[in-house]
Amino acid sequence: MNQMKEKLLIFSFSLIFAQNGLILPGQRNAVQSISASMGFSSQDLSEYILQEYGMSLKDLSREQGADIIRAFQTGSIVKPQKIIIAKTPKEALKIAQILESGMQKRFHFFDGTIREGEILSIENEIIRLKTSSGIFNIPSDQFLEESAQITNKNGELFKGAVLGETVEEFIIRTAYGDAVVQKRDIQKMKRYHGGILDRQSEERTKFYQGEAKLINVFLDPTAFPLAGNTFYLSGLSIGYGLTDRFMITSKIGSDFNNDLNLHPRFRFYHKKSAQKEVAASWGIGLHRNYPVESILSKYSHAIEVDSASTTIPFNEIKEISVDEIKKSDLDPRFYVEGYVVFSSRRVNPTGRGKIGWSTGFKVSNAFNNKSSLIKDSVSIEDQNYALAWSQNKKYSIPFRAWASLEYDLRKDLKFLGSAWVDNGYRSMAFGDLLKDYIGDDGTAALSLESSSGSVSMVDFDFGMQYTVNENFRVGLHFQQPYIDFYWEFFEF
Amino acid sequence: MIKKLFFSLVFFISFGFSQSRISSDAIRKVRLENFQKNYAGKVIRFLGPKNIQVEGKLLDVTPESFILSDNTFQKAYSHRHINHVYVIPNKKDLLLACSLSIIGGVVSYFSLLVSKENPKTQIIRSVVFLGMITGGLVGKNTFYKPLKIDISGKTYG
Repeated sequence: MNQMKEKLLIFSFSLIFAQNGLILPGQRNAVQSISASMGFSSQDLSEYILQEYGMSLKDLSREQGADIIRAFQTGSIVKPQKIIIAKTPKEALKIAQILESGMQKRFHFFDGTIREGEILSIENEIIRLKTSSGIFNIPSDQFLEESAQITNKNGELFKGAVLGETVEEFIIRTAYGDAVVQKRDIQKMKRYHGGILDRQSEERTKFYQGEAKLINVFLDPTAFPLAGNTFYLSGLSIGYGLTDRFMITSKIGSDFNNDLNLHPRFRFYHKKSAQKEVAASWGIGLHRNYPVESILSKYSHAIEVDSASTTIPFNEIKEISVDEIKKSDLDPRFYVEGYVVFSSRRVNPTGRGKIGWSTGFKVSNAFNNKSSLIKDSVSIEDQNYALAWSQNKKYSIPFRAWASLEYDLRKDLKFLGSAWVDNGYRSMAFGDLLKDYIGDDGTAALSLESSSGSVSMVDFDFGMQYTVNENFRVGLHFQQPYIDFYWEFFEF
Repeated sequence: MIKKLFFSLVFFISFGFSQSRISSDAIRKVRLENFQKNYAGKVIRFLGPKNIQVEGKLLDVTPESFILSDNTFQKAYSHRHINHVYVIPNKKDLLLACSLSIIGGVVSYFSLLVSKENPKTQIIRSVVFLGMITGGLVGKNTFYKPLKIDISGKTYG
């Protein structure tokens, strides 16, 4: 059993660490030595990496590190004399080629300053710019070129100078003509100022959307399913987006315990504009052999243990286990749950990503014929205790209703919050939860179904989620399961 | 005098050309194509000439006009001076808003049950009613709201 647990832990950790993290020291050394052998000084290398990736060598990912090494080896990176610019790096910045009266946006300047306003007129290369702080006369060669690289959801890639941005589109001058790219179709976008990727501005000041598009907030689904042909793997489940509106997940822990299960989700309503996206979905969960113990554990607080006219909820009695109150001849049962969820996301008026909310309601058949699941009485130390399901109306059906919030703090960081009403919810300490997850409490591993914890039917939670790279996300919050991590592999 | 007039003309014309904008016609054309692609079959509304409000099902968009249907007749309306069009919510949107209202009522009922032992019928009714109103308002603002679409040739926000 212990060996099994160790293997599980090693497996989980190796999954976490297998993601594409920062560049390895070996890769860094290789980049430095190969570049030096090709005549690059360390400054040349830093400048090259800054220009191409918008960061320093130590901040590159492993994948980017491997790309650079490959590029050096294949000779696709030109020698420094070709990329060394006799001028200072600032002079190497690209000057805006297209400036016209009426242009209204955030302008970046040669000296590093930024002003937001409208060009009133252009006379003799002097641009009259009106901002909320006043009117400025600025030489046109001080304006940096603003360009973008946009990939839309069809996989088309556009590169060029940003002519304008409206609430609906970006207008880009490409080498082959002007492109109007609808914001609703944008999959990925990078912005450059003066020809250099402006990571600071891109990630912290203004961005169209965060990198992660959530399909769940903590354990509750949103109405946005996985994108088509996307593979999903988390600590609790695996899933696949079959189309843009239909996805299926399955709980790994239950699958390995002979309880094969499928959780399809279908988006039956969807509207999207550049400013706002709304959707509604339904989902069901089907379990072939759902253990009766899981139902009794989840709703242990709804089982009353009666002795000498004192009634105590079952979850407060440590001396009796779930197995002892379960009727002995019971087989696992067919379990089904269904939910409907509504979601909305809109552009944050501050220009920093999006704000979204979801609300949903879930019911299950866990209480079907519930009186047949438990014994009439149980004896402890020669004393008999009567067992019965609570007759309180709040246990008439198993339900969960939730409202959740997502807020882009940065392009790679989201604030998440959720509030719920759930007659099966119990708040658990992290230690108990870990025991439950690895199966140390007698329940199945890789699933959450402990009978411990304090009843908390109306509760809330909040936390953060960080996008480590294109595929891997990790989140931290203050209620179970405390830590979220998952991978999404697009075009899988 | 003629020389002065000539120079003035040259000055004004050159000033005018120095302000030339990106071809707005091309951008308007793309927007109209996108509009047709995304919203054909939906009911749209716009303010036509002489401030007459026009509403109908969008069948097609030609370079000159919208082809709208009122379920009986089809008619072309010029979109030459129209910069914004509203896409009107339909029955499905209304149904979604109503279902959110129902869910609001159900959630309020269960919230009351778990937070208060044996609540009075009057309290239940009030809470459910409030929940339905709140859900309905959220639903209306989320799902049952006209969508404003820009079809102008304006390049800058």
